[in-house]
Amino acid sequence: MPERIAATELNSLVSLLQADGYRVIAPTIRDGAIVYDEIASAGELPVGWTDDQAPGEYRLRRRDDSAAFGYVVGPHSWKQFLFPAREQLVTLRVRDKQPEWSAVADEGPAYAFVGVRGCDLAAIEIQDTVFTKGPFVDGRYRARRDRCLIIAVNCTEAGDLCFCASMGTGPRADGDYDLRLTEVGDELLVEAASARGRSLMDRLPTQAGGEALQVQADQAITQCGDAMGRSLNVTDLPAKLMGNLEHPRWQDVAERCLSCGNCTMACPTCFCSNITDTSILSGDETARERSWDSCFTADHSTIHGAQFRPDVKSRYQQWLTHKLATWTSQFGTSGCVGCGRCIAWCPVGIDITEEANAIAAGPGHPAPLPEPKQYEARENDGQVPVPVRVASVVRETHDTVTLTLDLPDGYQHGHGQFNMLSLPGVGDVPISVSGSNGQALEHTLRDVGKATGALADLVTGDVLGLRGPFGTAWPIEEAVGRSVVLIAGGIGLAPLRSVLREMIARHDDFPHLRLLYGTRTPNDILFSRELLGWIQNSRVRAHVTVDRGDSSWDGNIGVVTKLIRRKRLPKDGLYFLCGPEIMMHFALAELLADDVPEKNIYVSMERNMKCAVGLCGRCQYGPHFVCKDGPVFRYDQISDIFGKSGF
Amino acid sequence: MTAPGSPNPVTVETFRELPTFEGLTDTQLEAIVGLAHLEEIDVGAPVLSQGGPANDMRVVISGKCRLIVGLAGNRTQHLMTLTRGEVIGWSALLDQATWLASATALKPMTVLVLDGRKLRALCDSDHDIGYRLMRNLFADVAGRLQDTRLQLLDMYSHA
Repeated sequence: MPERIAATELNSLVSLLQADGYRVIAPTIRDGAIVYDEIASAGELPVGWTDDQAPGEYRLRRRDDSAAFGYVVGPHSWKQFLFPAREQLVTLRVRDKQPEWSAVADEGPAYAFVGVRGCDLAAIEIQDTVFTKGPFVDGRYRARRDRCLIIAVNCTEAGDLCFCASMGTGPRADGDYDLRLTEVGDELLVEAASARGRSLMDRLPTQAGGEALQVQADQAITQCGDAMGRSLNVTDLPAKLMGNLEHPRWQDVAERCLSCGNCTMACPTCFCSNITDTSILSGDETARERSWDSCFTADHSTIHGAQFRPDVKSRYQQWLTHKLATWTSQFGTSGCVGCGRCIAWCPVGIDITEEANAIAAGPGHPAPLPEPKQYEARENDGQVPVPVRVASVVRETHDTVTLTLDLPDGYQHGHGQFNMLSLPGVGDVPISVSGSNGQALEHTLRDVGKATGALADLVTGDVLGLRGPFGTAWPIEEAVGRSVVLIAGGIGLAPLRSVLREMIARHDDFPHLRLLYGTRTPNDILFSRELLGWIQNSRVRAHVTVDRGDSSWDGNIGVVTKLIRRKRLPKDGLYFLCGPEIMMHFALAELLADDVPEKNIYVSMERNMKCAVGLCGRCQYGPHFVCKDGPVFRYDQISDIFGKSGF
Repeated sequence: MTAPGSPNPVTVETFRELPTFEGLTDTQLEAIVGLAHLEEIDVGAPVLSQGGPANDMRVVISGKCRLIVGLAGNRTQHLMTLTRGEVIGWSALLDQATWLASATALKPMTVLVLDGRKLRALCDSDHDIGYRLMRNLFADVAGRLQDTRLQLLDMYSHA
């Protein structure tokens, strides 16, 4: 039953929370804004203040009453306490030249959040899904969330930038709260929704007669819902936005957007992060830290030194389509809660509701997105490398080596999956498994930068860190009994080698097996001795071509697509493709022109994996994450976005 | 080499499954039979030589050759290898052309040799044949151009 409490008794609530061991975080005034910070008493609440907001504008103003919650939301959100802007995840210590990685224990305080609005309650639940619904679970986030106590507040006054009513997240704060308050005049309606909340309510100086106050509260909440300053038409919004990727409005907004990332910092659901390793001078200790990142930064969309979202238009498009469209496929909900922060804190006042409404109303045919995926949550967060010894190093070409590593205990992988290989002070690199047996695990990597260069310089006996395996594997069992064609380009042969080995060994299951392999020059051919064995092996028809050859090379010269055209390939066969995207693009064009169905083609889209566990947001590929939904995709899953600018 | 009228004469069957002649009827192919003959080429022997008069167009029936462009100072650039069904020397369809590249057999070859002047005359007199033949050859040339673009992109350099 709801009860009532005098607004002057709010300090009793703060004192109770402090006595229960909570660090009380609540709205308070700092630097001319209402922020969320620790308060010592209810006197630090912005009593008698409100906020005037407009696109790119935010001002505090005195109220003519002494309401404790008479404002909406400021630049802060609660995510800074549950998902800190910067935190150490892993510590690496080197003792006697042996590196050891360990998780950094979460020893943070138990927070009591006071004054969580409906939009922010919804935002917390969205981040719960991101961090705890798998496949990997961020144990640090979950621990903080489990400890946290939430005192929600229903909104009775709407701000000019609020649109929670159209997002279905407010103004009533429904969801996972412990205690909920509604301010009505100089009284508060109090409702408990958990054992912790009831325990607090039992100890508060409440009075009976909450039902009467409830009527007034409900009326105020309804009026607030009707008085929202903004609205967003969410009907079929994801498909409408994805169907209007060519709308001229994208260019229009790009000309106004500064690409500063303020919207992503102020947003209560944005979760993209970067991971960096910082070492002490001796190199004996390295901290692996996670920090907030933004899809508006250049680094966020850089692969191998090239940016796949080079302009503001593609970055804004990524942000908006992620927030309002692809998020639904990734997490089963919109990524927007209608809080309006991104509008107020945009230096040039770009209004997400105005942009999205305009673009969604465009002439493009709605492009439906895939249904949300369900993952099995694992206990392991996949963030801590295990030390593994280099058993041998084989130089394949002038810039490519194969590292054979001792197999970690209990390690099992599928062909096509990848591991993250770590070196102290250098960082993590995603490398696919190129082969394995009961004792050893092979990774073939090309020296293209600082991290891969350091890995390529390893010698037998060195120790490095390994996390994994991650991602999806080639669907080898689906291929049993069918014609199988593996099409590889350059280093792309590496993720296909182990699957080819298994298929050759299981000849009865894979009687019609073909490999088409293209690379730059004869000197760039990988696994040359093994490849010669495949060419001579009657169980596989292997063909190699090089882009450039001289008189010493009497094999094929020409691009790999020429091999596809030249060979009579089965329409009902299964195709596994791996190589540079430009090569796959043209290889796919040949196959599709030859009437091979999209569902018969699998491609490996290894790109931009950073955390590898689906938490950093960096490897997003439309509605997918490459690290957990890929790298191996059935082509029809990605055909709408493959090769499109901005993806 | 096998001269015209040798034990392995060109018949309509010779053209089967060669993309260049796809879509042509047997009657139309019979018109082409008369201006074609087969040649056998040994490994290492030239299929055509850069700078020579482009009198004949060739289609690989079997075997393999490589196409080489000679550059200044005895330097050469190996462009591509060609196998069954692929055309060598479509310059012969142009008036008064010369070979722009050389081709050398990498494996023993049988090539179908078509008299360029007569083929052009046939295409001029029978536009149905001409259209079909040019369409097929255009697809071949477009594929070559596409492949050349991919080679220029050096697509494996950042893989």
